[in-house]
Amino acid sequence: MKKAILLVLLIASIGSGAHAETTANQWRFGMGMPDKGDQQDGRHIEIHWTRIDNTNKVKVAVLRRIVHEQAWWDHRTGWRKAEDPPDVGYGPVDINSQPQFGATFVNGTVRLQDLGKPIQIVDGPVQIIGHTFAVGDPIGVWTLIGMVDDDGTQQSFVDEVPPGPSYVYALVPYTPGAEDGQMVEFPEYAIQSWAASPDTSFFNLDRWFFASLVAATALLFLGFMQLAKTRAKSMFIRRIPGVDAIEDAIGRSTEMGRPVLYVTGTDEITNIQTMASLLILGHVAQMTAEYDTEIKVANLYPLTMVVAEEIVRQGYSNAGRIDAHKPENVMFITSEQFAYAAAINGMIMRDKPATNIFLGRFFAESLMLSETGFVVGAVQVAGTAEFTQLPFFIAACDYTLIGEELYATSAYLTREPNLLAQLKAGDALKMNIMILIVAGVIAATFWGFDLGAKLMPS
Amino acid sequence: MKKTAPLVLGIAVGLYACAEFYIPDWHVRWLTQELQTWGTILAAFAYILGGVNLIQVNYPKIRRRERDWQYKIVMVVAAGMMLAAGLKWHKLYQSGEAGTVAIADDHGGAAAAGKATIVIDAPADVMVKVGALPAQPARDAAGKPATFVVDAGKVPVRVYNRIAGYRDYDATLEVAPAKIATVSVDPAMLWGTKGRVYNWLYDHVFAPCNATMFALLAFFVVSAAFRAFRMRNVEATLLLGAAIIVMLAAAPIGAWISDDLVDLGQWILDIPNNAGRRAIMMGAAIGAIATSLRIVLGLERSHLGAD
Repeated sequence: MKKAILLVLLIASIGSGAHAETTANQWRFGMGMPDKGDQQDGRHIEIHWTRIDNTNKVKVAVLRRIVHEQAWWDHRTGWRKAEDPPDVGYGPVDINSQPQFGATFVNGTVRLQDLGKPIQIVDGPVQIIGHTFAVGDPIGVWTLIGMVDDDGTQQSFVDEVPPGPSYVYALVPYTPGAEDGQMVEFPEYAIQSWAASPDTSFFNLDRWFFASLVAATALLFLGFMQLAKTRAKSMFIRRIPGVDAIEDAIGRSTEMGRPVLYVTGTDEITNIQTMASLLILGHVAQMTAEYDTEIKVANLYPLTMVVAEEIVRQGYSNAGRIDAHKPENVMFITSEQFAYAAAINGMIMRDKPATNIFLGRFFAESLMLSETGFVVGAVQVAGTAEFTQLPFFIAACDYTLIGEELYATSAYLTREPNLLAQLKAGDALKMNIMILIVAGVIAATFWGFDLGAKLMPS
Repeated sequence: MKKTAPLVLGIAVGLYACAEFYIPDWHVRWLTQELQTWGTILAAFAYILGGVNLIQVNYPKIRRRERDWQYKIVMVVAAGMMLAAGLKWHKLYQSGEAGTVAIADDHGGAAAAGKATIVIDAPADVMVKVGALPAQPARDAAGKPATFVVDAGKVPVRVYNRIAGYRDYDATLEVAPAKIATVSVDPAMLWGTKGRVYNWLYDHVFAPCNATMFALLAFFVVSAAFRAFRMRNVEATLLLGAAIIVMLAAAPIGAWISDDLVDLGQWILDIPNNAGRRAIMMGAAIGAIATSLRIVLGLERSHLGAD
């Protein structure tokens, strides 16, 4: 538990004469915010317990009830008054005289001074014995939220609740029947918790490593940006042949008088690969404008089309050729994957573009497009971070931007020091990750220490 | 201003999107879902622009009788048909319940046994499901309506067409002992994305075309593999060797030749292939973080378009 958890040792004495069958029980019970970071959202409560005397082989029914600390509306009875949270309590569930759960059980009549008294049932008849319950069933004012096998070890249970009110939990040991969910006997004392509200955390500690990666990237980025201001010329950036080939391919298109076909992938604009593709499109559009070559841009989604149209317009504007821009060359085709592939294949066969540029996220259509492009003899540059499609592009295209190269291309094409700093920051981070991997391998090999699980618990 | 406002908005939303990943509070998640809903609404508007673009691109080509202009007509007409079929025209003329129920006294054997009877008056091509009984046609071979003798009380009744795209009758009848309930249903055809026409077009035109395109992939793979596996240099030779081993290992003949071949094939997949795959994934992840930072910090602005 991340926050302080009240730990209660509930000790129930030997049952009264009326309940001679009840054995002495001790419970250790705790309640609070769950351990998992993504459950520390103000909607989850974790309860955990240990039944110290586990002589009886029982299951434990976990019950929850809401405590209305403000006046509330009941659709059957109208407005009802606010309730005082019930006290912590325990006692046997009386199944001999009144086979029911009821209001006194929940309203706090079972308190420390009631030690040994049976829990009286007065509210709303609910047949328990022999009845089969399922998780989610109401039992009186309670809701059954779990039925847990209890072998005496520490058990825990995470409950998702609507945020706002307080909740009380009851743990009721029962002897299961032949049917799943059937309760046939209550051989031990049940316990009732104090009222608690789900708590929230400001930071998901399970994700600290991801946050530190982003922070490290940002810091390295800013550091290299500063460096680039003073020593830009000394910053070595390796050549990316696929990117260098784009300008040559556009030149070839110009010489041949054929268009350039640019495909932005088959994912929504929310995907970072599509964004990377659109960033490169601006540079490509500027080049085609400078070379006075037609560019056709195919989009699977209309939102991508709208942004692509603006980017191409900007590219033509940057080249001082806004008059040459044809908005109808930026096309929304269809949102269906194979219909999209068929349409682009048709365009390739009809228009015979001299250059095909496939950048973004691709799936099964990658090979269809690139093979058709090969048939018409186009120079093809492809790039994706989708590793399942990379072999197809490598086999069918002249140049392939693999994974990170797709993201680096925009910066590479601008040659702006600020953006080149991104490439250097990425390289530096990769170096650090490599060191981390080696350290992890050594730790796992020699000490059996799982570094990955420590860094990324979720 | 045309660029500044989107830039500021982009930075704000980008920083929020980055931060919300680390903040588990449910208020933050709720806000994220709201923002995603806004995004969905924006995307829906973009489809209108997409439709306009479709006409803008294709109509001039049809008018100028450009090459393969006939296909453009097919595409525009098909898009129009799917749009028309996707609208819920039945809302204009259909109202009320999907069926009617008439209750009468029963003087037959079922009544004597304290049971109730449910009779379904529906066309023969319609299926009926009453209570826990198995579904059956609404009429038998002789054309008699389906009749069910049930315990009195609440009985769920579902009458539906075997083919998707028709209106179902789905209700719980409360029948008393010695009563006969006659349910008259004639499932009406629906329009819209769950309607008959849309479903027919999808199942009988679009799905086969889609499957055909997907099937073509096999031939593209063969053609690409033929080129990729030529022994042009050392790398291509290594690729060819690895491919042969992996393919043999995956086929029954591999185990027949040697179990070691199967192990070797699996080793190639698990170790060198996996290592390369993870390296690509890690590099791509770092690239994605850096690109996102560039956009979020406003260093990359080309996606904001022209002034």
